Amino acid sequence: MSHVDEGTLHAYLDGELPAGPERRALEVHLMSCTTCRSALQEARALREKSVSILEKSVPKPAVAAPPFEEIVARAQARSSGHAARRLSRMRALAWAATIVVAAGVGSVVTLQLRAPREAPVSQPSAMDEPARLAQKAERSLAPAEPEPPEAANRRQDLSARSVPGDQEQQTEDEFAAVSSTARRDVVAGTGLATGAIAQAPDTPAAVAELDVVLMDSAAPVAAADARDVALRGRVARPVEGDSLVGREGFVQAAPAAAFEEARGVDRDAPAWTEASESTASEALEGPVAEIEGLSVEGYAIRSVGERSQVKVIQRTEAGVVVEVIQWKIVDTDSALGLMEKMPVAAPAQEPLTTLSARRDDHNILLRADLSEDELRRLLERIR
Amino acid sequence: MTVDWAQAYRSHYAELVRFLHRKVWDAERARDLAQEVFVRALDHQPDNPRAWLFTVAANLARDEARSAMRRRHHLTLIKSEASGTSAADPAADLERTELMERVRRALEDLSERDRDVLLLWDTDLSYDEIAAQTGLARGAIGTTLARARRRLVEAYDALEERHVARG
Repeated sequence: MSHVDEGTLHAYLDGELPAGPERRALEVHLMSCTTCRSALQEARALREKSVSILEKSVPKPAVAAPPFEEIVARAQARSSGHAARRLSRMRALAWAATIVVAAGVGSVVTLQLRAPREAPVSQPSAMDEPARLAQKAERSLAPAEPEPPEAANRRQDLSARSVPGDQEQQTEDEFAAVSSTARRDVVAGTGLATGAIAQAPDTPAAVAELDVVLMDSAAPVAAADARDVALRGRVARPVEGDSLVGREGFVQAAPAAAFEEARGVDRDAPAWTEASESTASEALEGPVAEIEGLSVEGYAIRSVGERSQVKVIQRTEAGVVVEVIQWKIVDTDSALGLMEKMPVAAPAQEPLTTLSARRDDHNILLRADLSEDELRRLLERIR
Repeated sequence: MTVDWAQAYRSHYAELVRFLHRKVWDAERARDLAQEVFVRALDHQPDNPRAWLFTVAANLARDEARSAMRRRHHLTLIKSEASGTSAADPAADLERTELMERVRRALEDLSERDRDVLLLWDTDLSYDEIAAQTGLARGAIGTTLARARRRLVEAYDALEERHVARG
């Protein structure tokens, strides 16, 4: 047997060489070949050393797993979140479909009502050019001409074949249900519910009545208003009454706002002064770090000794104020030491979570009434 | 096949964190990602939990690395005041941080494939499982591991020598 290759020796040491003729032959060879025995010893030392090196990178303290129930709860919350988002998308589609259908039917009826006054299509020469263009424009808004029944049937067959399973069928049913709900909402919202619409909005008679009603000139506007009201109801609205930035200045009526809190509590620290982004950038001698995707409510600066601190006040979608305090490192102090030297306003009433990070030659401190995990995620979005 | 996920969680969580930590080099992030892996597992219900968990963990770690590279500047978390924990022994803490940094840099010296194979082996995955996950032939795992171990040891020793020389 020729000398054993290194890979086989490592597989042997790892216990990955299955018992059998190959392994027996290897062991017999090792007994008689000093070169391979030496190679095996070297491989063993390499293996042990690499294990001990990797051991050094095990995070300390030892990992304690959060309760399994917590993971289960997160998984369940996520699946229900997916379902809610799917339903929300379906609702939006239903709204769009309802409005498009209403507008389309309206255009068709309008064309039919106007038809006697217009020249027949078969006599284009009888129309002047502007009229023909106007008619073309109107037709482009109307739905396509009804297709022959055979074509519709073919399409229906194809459509039925294209549905691969129950899930898609369920989705269509869901859509139909939502569409029906949307129609009811439109009717209720426009205040146009009469007759069949009010009593049974899903019946063909009600649909026809609704379509006619929506052709009324005021109806599309009312329908759009109704849709807007419904949409507004679904969208999280910004928190009102505690805006940090007033019409003319900074910090108007925000007793709990981070800015006031910082000024009031950290009495030894110099007060913050409202600043523009460019002033803040000059103070930092570089671009101001901000959390991407969060609205910026204002900038402030202050001098601490020879250094300048900049604060960006941002707000999450949920209305939580996040402070991004930052300053340039100007001496040879360690980042951590400097962090401790620089006054950072202490929270007033409730302890806020604070994370500190270093980016190149700047220190950045994030503070908000959020969990550490949430703040850490925001930290990753700093640009 | 029904998987006892509570048991799988108890058995593999620590391994996953260890594996992820060597990929993202942030203990907290490694824990977050390990939990995320299990959340996804409960949703997907894979038949072979162990292989699936590490495959997803490797993918998450790769995504994490990509997003970190996309950041214009690398942010290094240097202090968490919220946790309120301070090192009982700052000198030991510093030493551990330096060791970890050396291991990280030594691992960076390996090719991505060699590093993946070594880290998967270190989390007790068999050659068959490593082959399935990396797409390598089973017969190539031993050779890859031999090369990865050698490079890791050489790179680590070189870093340690430099550290000692600096005093």
